Amino acid sequence: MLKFFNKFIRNLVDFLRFSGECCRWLFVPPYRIGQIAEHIERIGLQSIPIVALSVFTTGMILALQLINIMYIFRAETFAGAAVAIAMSRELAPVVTAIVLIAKNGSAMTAEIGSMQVTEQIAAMETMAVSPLRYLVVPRIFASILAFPALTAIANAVGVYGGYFVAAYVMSVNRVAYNQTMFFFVDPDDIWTGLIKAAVFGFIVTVICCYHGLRTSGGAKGVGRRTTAAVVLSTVAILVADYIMTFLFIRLLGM
Amino acid sequence: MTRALKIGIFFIICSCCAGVYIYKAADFFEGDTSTYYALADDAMGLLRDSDVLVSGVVVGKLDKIGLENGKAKFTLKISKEVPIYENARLEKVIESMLGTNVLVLAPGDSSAPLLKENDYIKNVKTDSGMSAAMSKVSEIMEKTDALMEKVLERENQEKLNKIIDMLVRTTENTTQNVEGSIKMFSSVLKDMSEVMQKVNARSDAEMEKLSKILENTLKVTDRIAEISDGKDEKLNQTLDDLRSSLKLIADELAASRNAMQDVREITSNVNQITEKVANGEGTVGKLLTDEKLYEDIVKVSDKLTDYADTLLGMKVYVDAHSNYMVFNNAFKTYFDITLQPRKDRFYMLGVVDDPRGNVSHTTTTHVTDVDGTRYIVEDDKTVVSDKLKFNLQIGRIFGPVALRGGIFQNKAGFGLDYVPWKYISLSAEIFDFASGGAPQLRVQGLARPLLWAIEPFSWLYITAGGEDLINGERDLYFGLGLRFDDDDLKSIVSSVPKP
Repeated sequence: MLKFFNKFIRNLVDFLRFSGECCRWLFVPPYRIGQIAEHIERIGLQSIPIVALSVFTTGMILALQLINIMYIFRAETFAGAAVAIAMSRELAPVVTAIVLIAKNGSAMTAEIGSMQVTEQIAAMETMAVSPLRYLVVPRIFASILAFPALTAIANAVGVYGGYFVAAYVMSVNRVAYNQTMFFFVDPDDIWTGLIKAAVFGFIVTVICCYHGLRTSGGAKGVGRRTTAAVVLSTVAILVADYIMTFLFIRLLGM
Repeated sequence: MTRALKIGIFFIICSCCAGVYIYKAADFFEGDTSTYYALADDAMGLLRDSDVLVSGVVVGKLDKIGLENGKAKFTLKISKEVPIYENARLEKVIESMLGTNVLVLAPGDSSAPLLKENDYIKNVKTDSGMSAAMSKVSEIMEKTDALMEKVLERENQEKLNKIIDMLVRTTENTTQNVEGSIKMFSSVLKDMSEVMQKVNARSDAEMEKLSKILENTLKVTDRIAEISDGKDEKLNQTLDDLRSSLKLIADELAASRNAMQDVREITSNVNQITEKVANGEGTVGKLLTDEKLYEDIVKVSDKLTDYADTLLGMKVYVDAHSNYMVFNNAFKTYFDITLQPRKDRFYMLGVVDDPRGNVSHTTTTHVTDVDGTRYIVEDDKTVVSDKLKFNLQIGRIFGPVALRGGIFQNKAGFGLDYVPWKYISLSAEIFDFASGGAPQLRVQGLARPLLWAIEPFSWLYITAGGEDLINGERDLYFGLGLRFDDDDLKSIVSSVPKP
């Protein structure tokens, strides 16, 4: 037990040191624009279909459930407002982040992990190329930009997923549903959602790259680290989401 | 399709999605609002941004709900177009069956003085919610139950029957009396109307006749007195009484005649005056009939109103901030004063202390002869000038975007500000087109993370950005600043101790 605890503390300190290093290098030029663009394409552009499909379905499910409940109060048109507020505040950033962890986070760990076990990282260090600056920092920049961008798309797609179910499946009055859709949504909700997404982007990338760079033990080690990275990133974004929501409520009175 | 183009399209689509979403969610009521406060016993069912209605029309928002002395404190943002008086009344009413509430405002009338900005609306009613209604209903139901129990007792039922009988009889009698009174009253009114008609029908000639009759009667009484020669006391007494009464009547008639004459004269004068005014004669006539004069007066009045609006509505912002230039390892300090006479335009004057200044490089080549050998020597000279620079800009505001133009650090240029959220501002400036090289591009992000906090923290803000980004002398910076508006300045000035 003590051994496990010691290992946990050692890993935590190592991770925090790694995160600090990442933060420091974020502000040191030169910025590898080409690499950042490549990762934006991979994380952002190539993830649009899967993110859109996920949040569209989430919006549909949410609307379906809410309309049935709201119908008891003859207030089914208000389901749109509930979907919109849930999407902008929580669901769009969280669902987007989870999808991106599954698609890109795991890929980052596997890619960097494979480079580590085949000693490509060691070769880079031999050539005085910092793997952190070359491999991690461009990915962090790309994630900080791509996560909020995809969340913005997710907001719109999710809300209209709900509208699709309400209008074409549940036959709710379209005009009334549309009018009440943004009834309770405030621009602050959207901004805070986008800020959350940017923070999620940073957290996911740092965790996944950390696990990639600490991989050892061949192909088996790559698999183990990839699983750990995905699980930890998912838990971390949920915890971070709670903390940020708490702070926004306290600071902005949302 | 190149990668850059793909990424560009990706971010444009994302920005459009976010923009449309924010546009839909944003409440563009904002407008020009005044802040008022109200203390209430109960804020249940009210949310931030709940509507404030006047006659069902949204005129404002509930900006904040807080606590003050154990009561709910509402901060209301109400359109300046709605004047609110001290006798205004604010009431919390149910908006929907879901339990949400809105505030209904009766703005009061001019019998009371106007409320000023940041004043309290004193008359607040918040017990009209669903819970209050339900508690009143249950109270009434309890009382009704108790009453019904008493009524249903046998003894009380007999008493009640008697009371009802008496009531029926009393009602019948009252009805009869009222009917009789109404008949009498209508007959009296008829008589009075006939008398009035007769009096009105009398002409001046008849009045003259009446006064002559009275004079004659006076003479007759005098004559009778002479004949009786004071022998019959009773007769004398009667004649004296009659004489004095007749005199009184004659005096009254004379006074009435004079009054009538005066009224006629006054009416004739008024007719003459109105005729002159209608013909446009005299000063008043010209004022009322001369259209050009009227238009001039309207123009002057409009200009005076505009001038007063500009003068009273002028907002002043004072801004001082200092940025640490990372690559130059120096601080660059700005001091700006922004005057905003209208909501959509502003003027900015500023001084910039730039340690870098304007750097100019000159290379001179000359030939030197050392020990018979000729050397070509190149001297590189770097001159730093204009460390103190000036800003002089005018700007127009279009919603969250502001465009600026004028002098930027002694050079002509223009800038763009975007304020997507009150806590964040993004700016870009491009200037110095005449330097021969590329113009200077300055990009800045500004955050006011403590805007929600109490003063002086709410004045603080942080900046980060880059300067001269197109040229090779680019630099990154971050900094800290203070920004006050005129209200802040007033409070600062008033809190400074007097010597």
